[in-house]
Amino acid sequence: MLCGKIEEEKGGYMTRKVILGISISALFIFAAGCAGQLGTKKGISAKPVGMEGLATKEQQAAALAGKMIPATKLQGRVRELATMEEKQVFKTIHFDFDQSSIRPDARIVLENIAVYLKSKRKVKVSFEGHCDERGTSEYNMALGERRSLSARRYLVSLGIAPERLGTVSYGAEKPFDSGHDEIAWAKNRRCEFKIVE
Amino acid sequence: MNKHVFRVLLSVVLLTITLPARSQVNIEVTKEAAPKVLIGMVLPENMPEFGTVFFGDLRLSGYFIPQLLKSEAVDVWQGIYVIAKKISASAVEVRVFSSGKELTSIKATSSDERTLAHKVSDEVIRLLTHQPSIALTRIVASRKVGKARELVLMDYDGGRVFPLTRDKSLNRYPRLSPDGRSVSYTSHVNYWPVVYRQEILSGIRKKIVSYPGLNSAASFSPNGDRIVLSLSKDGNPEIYLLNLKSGELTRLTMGEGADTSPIFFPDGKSLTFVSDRTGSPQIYRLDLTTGQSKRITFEGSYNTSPDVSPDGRFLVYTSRIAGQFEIRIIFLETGQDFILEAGPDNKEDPVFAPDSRHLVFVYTRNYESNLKMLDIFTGELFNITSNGGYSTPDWR
Repeated sequence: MLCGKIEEEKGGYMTRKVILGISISALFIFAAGCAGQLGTKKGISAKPVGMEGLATKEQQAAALAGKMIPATKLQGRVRELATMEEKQVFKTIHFDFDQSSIRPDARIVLENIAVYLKSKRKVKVSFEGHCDERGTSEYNMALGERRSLSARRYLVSLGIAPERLGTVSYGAEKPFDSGHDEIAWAKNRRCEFKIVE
Repeated sequence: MNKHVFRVLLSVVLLTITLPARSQVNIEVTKEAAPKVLIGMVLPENMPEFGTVFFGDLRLSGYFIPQLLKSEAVDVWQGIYVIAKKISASAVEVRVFSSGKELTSIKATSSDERTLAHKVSDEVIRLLTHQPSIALTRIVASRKVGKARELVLMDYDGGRVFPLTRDKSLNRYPRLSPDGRSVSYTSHVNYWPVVYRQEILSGIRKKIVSYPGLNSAASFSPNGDRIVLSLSKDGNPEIYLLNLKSGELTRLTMGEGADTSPIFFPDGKSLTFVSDRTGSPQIYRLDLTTGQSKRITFEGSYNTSPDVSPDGRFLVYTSRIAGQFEIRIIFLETGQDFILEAGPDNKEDPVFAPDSRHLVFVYTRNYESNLKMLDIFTGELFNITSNGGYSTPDWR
């Protein structure tokens, strides 16, 4: 991490624009780096510079090992996906019958979400778990919660701070497709995403 | 009336049929030793609702075959009969006779006929049978209203349904406190699911559990001072015990698998709950003194929503068998586990009545869900609701 250094271009000379550009970037890097090293507001385990919004090593290791990551209560207003980018990134993921494990097709979506969340460190997400209409009511709520926790844990294993990720379960109360066949049921076994601001 | 004779008439004999273990055949597991008792009823002319409800209560209790009588007919009536008379705008007197001799006279007051009838029925049933009566009991349930779910309360016979919530969100899993005065439930009114406790008379509700993650499936301990529930605050749905006075929270289950639907046994010393720790949901019993859990269902791959009878004799639950939901019953003394015959289509979420003899459950046909009542001793079924959308009832 450069802190106040300016690199010279090869060849020995630089145009004014380039000098200005590099100087400004260097200033920002300097400012960001030094500000981070002054410590966080809360004073508890100050995260290293650039680590805001990312999981700690311990959290990431626990998630990779399949351990339980304590739930988060998010503050803020929950809203639907709004921008084109949000709708492209936060695609609904689906699950197999009676399962909460992450399928390969879901992995790809979650990996894209992780990239997005790493570039936008302030964004918080709610994971909404759902079931198909088969199954009894109370257990369906637990199964929906398993699905949202499972997707969340995968994101933590990819390095996203769990404090940005909340979970909700609706059981079978909010089907995506109100049909009563395998096609509808497959669409209903899902985790949807909402933004929390 | 000869008390001894009546006791014999009403004693219940359990016919335990020897079957190979793990039978899946629908059988009637209990049978009354004697047929129901005929009871003549002389009703007041100007109180139609009173009459209907009084008649219905005696019939639904399971002990009687009520028969309407004209007052002149009592002279030739053999056996038990009642004469009900209006004594004022809000009072009724019921005289109970057996073989021409008056046993007792019951008075009740209420501003509405339905309550009058239930009060009178309750006394008549308890007097004549020496058994608990469900006449004054109530059922609470969650009902679909548009995209929302609202809680409703009703008399056990399906009458007088009134809304407990009106907030257009998802309100589910209601459980009545042991004194019947309040109800706990999970609500999504502010997006994140939390548990509320609402006083029925005043309608005032208070948030009582709102940890991070899932707060659900709360139910009361037998003396009402604690609740058990499912929380995912530690990263997975587990069972916790909450002391309502001190706020102390104790975790009861650990490890893999989602745990939910905890219900106390009536002695307060153990719980039953659902866990999918073996890969699919099964029912377990947790001893609160040792903290040990033991699996108690072994038929099939999907067993959920348990309930225990107030007398501690039976445990009922929902079992998925060949894609359809059935109610099964476990005789806790012997461990025998049978399917309870309760009609075609899906039967879910069975809950015992305070008399340990009746059950309410959700019956779903063509995706329409209604509440039905089952008398486990006679196998009789009664419709409680008919307008659809019902789920997860509770009965006190």
